[in-house]
Amino acid sequence: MMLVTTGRVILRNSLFDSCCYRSHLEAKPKSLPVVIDSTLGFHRVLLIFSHLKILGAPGGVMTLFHFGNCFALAYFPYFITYKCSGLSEYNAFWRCVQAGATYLFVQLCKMLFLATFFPTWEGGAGVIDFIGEFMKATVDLADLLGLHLVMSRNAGKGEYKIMVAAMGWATAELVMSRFLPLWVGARGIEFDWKYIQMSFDSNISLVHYIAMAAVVWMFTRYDLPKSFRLPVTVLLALCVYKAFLMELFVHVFMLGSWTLLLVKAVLTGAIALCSLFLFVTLVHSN
Amino acid sequence: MFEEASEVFDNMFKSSFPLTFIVFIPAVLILVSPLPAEAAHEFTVYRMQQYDLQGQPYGTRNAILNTEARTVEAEVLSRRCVIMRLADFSYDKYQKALRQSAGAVVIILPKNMSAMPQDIVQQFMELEPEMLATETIIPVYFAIEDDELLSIYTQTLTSSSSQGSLSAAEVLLHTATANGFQMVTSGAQSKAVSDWAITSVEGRLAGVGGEELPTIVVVAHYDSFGVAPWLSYGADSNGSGVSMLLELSRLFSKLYTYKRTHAAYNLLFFVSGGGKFNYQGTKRWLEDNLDHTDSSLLQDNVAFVLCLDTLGNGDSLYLHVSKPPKEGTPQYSLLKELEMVVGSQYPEVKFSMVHKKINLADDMLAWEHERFGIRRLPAFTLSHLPSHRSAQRSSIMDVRSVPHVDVSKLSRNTKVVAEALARVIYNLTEKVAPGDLQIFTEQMQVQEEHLSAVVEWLTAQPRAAQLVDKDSSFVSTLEYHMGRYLKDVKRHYVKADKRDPEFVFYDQLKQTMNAYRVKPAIFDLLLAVCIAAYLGMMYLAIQNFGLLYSVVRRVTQPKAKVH
Repeated sequence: MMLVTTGRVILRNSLFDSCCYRSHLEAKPKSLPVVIDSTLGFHRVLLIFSHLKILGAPGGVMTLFHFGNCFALAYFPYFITYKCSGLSEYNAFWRCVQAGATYLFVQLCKMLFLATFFPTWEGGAGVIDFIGEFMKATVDLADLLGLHLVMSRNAGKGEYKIMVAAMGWATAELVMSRFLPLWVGARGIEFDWKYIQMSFDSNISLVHYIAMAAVVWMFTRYDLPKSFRLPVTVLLALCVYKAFLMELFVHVFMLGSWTLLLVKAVLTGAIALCSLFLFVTLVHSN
Repeated sequence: MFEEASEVFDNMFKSSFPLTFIVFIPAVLILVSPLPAEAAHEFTVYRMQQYDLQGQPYGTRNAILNTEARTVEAEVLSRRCVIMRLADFSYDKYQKALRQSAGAVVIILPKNMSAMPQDIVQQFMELEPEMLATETIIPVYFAIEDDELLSIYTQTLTSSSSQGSLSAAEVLLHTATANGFQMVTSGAQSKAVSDWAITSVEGRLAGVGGEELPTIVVVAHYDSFGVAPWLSYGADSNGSGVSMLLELSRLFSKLYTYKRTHAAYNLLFFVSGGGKFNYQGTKRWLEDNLDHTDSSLLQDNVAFVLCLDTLGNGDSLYLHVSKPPKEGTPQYSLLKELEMVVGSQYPEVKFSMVHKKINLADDMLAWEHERFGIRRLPAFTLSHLPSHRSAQRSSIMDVRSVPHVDVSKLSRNTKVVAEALARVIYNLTEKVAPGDLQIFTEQMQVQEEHLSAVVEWLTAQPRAAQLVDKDSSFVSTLEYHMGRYLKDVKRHYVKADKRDPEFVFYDQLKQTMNAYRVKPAIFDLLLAVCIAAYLGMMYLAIQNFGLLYSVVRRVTQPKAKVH
């Protein structure tokens, strides 16, 4: 206890010095009060950080720190999942990279297809072309094919195949569609919550792809019981049209960005839980 | 994992070119990506004057701004950008910001200046010269209010005024919810403009009837002045003087086209530049004409020089002289004729003479006629202002709206001057012509629409001396306009001496300012703690995924048996 108090006094002392230095206070108290009020101490720390203006300079340390925050939030769950799911023990890294390459290929095909057959919507701003959006979401069926392709090329247990395909797929998406905006945006002087939201969104999409891979795996099994056909198909459709549904929600209910994120998380969680139920039932039924 | 990765990369680069491409292009893009230019709000700001006159620096000396915004209510202002609205502006607050070594001052002006209460406008007008009187180290900017800027101001106001007596939790909440704004200007540091040429334009109407005719010179300076050059429209000072000069040139050019009305006086019209900077254009013009040439209208037999300054308003006319004219001189007769015309035709106008000696010890000359007075030319200035110190002569509030320029009054004043001049030129003394004889009537009358159009054109763009260069459309339009009525229209340029410049202008007077929404450093640290906690929870959840799995399995097992 003594040690802790002394440490805090020293800490406070040095912090107080820096505080004086930063804010050009003229007089420094000769003796520090012995009794340390925790609130006061906390207040002081806050004050000091609010005086560290040099760190907040544009392109400076603080913006890089903010980027680090977003980066950690976006990437660490992937890393944890990779480590804890045992994929690292299977030497699955190269397979994940392959899955990522497949992702790139599929996205390229989708883009070409969209650019060729879907004219740009020329309606007024704020009006959504529902049919067009629906058709575009239908193109996402190619993702299912891609996932199936990845899984069919890997031999192994079901879980392993699903995890490899989903990890590779989601990571490729993360790198391709989120890293650049984060790097450019979160490092800017301008603060915006959307980079934090984007990082959360990448966590959600990891869950989404794992569930999607599981559903695709179940769907392509020859020994899928008849009673499973319908729920699996419904889940598949939900997976594909999730983005479309979200857009619809935004348009109909005028959702804010945080609410949208919450709705997305809940929806994805529900899909994931359903597919987990189906998966467990299927794996352990025979 | 990393050994694996390096092996993978090795293989990849050796075997497949497209993959290398896919990896390298984003990497290159990432490395070269500049910081984004998009900001919460982008607006144009106008910098306060910066100039040196006779080696004395005036105005703000700095242009670069990159600091967080505060309102003047905040406790600590040092190195902050203090934003104020015109409605709340006072010299005390401005001085408080300067005393506390603020990083910059941004003053937000309302979009519609004429809607402001007159006392605020008047107060600001009085303050403008004081703000410019000494040099200011920090940048001072002016911005025109819009909705975004107003919202930035309000947000800054709430966060500035709510600091202090708060608990730690409130401060925390505040940092998470409130926005700070980082104000950043895009331009470089201001630097002196070298070789800046101030342009003046002259034109003449030659009289007939022998050699050595007396010359009457009519002078008005065209440049405007205010606390910020880009906001100085100078409608009354001296747009009104220039428009009156142009109208006079039109009227007398008509008279001079007919043989019967062609008088024995040369008329010389001079629109001078740099008038707000100690009449630099006039000074050089006089030097050129008196010292450097052999023959000039100014060298021999100048009847008088009439300077027109700020005549677009008011019901009084003052003839400012530095030496009361003696009886028998043309000056004296003009004075008498002005009195006569005003007295007999416009009794509502108060006309008087104001006598002020030239003070050579002063840094600035008071009126333009003093430039001529120094060179011993008989000169006076006509103005509706009783004193040269009047704030209206150097204010950004002097814009084209009714309180500043009233075209009907301007046209009345023009008529007075034209009548008086004509009476002098044609020697229509009281014995010959009664006082209420009107010369400029019917086809010859002063055209109010014409005056109004000229004033409109003059106030369409700011005419500060730093902004009107020799290629500007303003000068060429002016030259064209004078060329329609006058002969021998030519330009005169004045450049400051390289070694010992009399005046130095600086650039970066108009800039784009960005307001970036920022959070304090403590906020990022808090965020880091929250994210760490979240990731910890994630880690635990993934580690214990088996639990969920077994729960699901237990739930589903009975069903599986049924199948």
